[in-house]
Amino acid sequence: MKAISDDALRRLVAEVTREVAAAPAGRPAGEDARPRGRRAVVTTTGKNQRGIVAKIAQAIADAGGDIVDISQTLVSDYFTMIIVVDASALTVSFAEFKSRLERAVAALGAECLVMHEEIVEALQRV
Amino acid sequence: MPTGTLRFDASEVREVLRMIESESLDVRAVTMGVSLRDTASESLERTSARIYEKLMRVADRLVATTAAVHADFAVPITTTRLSVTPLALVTEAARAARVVPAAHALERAAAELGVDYIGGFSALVEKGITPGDRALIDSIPEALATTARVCSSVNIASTRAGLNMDAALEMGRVVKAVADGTAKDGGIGCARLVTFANIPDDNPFVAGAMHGVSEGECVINVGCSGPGVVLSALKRLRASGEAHDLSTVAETIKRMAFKVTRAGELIGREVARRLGPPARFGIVDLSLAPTPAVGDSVAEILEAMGIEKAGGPGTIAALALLTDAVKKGGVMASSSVGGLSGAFIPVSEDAGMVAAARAGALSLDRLEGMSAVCSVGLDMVAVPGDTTAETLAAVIADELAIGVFNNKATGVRIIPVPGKRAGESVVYGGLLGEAYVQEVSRFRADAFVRLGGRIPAPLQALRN
Repeated sequence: MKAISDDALRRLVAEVTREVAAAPAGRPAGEDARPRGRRAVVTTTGKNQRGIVAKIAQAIADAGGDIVDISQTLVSDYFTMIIVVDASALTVSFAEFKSRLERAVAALGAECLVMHEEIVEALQRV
Repeated sequence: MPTGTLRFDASEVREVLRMIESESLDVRAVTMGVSLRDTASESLERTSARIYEKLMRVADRLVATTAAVHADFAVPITTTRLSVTPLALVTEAARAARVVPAAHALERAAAELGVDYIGGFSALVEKGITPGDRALIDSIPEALATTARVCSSVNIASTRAGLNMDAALEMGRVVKAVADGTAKDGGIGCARLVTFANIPDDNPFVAGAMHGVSEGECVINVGCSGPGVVLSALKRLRASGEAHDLSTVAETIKRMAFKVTRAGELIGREVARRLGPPARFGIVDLSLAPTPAVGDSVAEILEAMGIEKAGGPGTIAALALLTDAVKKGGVMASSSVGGLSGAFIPVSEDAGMVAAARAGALSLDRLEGMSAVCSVGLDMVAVPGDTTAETLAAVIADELAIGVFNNKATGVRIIPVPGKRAGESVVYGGLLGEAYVQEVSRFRADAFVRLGGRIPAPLQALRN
């Protein structure tokens, strides 16, 4: 399986997200439990990379997320993709956002973990 | 359009992912401490009702909130707990001879709130036992036999006050009674009973958790679980082929402890923020708390440092290095450090410790030595069922003297397993794991223990 460069990934994602219609304004009611910061880190591991990139980018855009960056590594047949998402304009709850992404990649036999950026910040920055 | 402005590089994100998914990074306990001071009344029945009502009101969103925080931050939260004001203080005014109904109120609230343990069925008797303390201590065997979640602790010593030897003998008897009362489950009630010296007010771990009187109205304290993360880092260091010495080992542990503590603090602050007042964030307990899961073992860390079997020669030095490195990384990570913040050596919960005990490397004497430097006591130590109350009292006194004279907290969670002898084992299951019954010295201390009175406070107490 050939590795896609990070730049090519970014172009692919831009292509996909351009097609998505603007999401309606407004947030779900009663969201006092929303995480404080604005970004989420989505890590996806699986085999069939191209199909998953498009699908996950679509799911993120559909939920009002904005992809800030994307990168990936390959270990034999498996890839790990890391996507940083600006979640400040999500049109669904964070829990719903997570759930949609998990379902989207599960359908293609991959796994996905969504975590708030703050956990990476807390562990990796003094 | 993605602009390539990742604030973290991919390896940093992958490290967090690896720590969570395969190295058992998790928050071991989120514990909400609740003051029950305002539930005291002149009727035990009314006090018990007020205890139940207050807990149900203050903690009603606790479990849902920790679940939501777990979902948002991906770090698993293994258990959610409650701790309360040492109950003897709350039930004293009711002047009852026994206070078991108050324990049942704690149990009922914990069960309905979905919390696995509630600590604080406790008394503080370093210098004397009031009627309220007496009533609580007398109630411990029945309370533990008739509940599944209530945890009890009795502080019988402190560096300021000395060691109450009357209470030591009393606790020897109570431990026996609790074991006998839960004999059909291998004396498991004793897993929820600790005798302490210098008990902390803010310990999030059971069985010694309680909401000390200094803690305010409602607090969220957190305990992390990082042995797996530390162990993996040490294994990678060894496999890397890089030259390293014990200073490098200490540095590696320190860096991982930093990350583990940061995870705990983030989770604790977020839970407190979402709950809102009166809850506020309290402390992170830095203790490296093992679980029975493979790879999540303090014993294995010692072995990765080159000790053949935990308990063998070199163990105390290695454990001292480990505990100190954990503290240094932890205090850099957080300004709110508290609880026990020591090394946990629960001999049944840590699979490596059980194996070391079974192999004959880890004895009661060795555990005592380890607690002199770094650990917090004799934890989940199983002994033969025929160990007498006087001998248990002497074992307790030994361990607590280490705490009193070294200005640290030490505790004893000991289980005289009914019907079992040294060398046999008993499976408790879940986080409690499997216990290997240790030998206890056949020599007696009955005359010493029965002298009673108080071992006076040491000079170390005079710090002014």
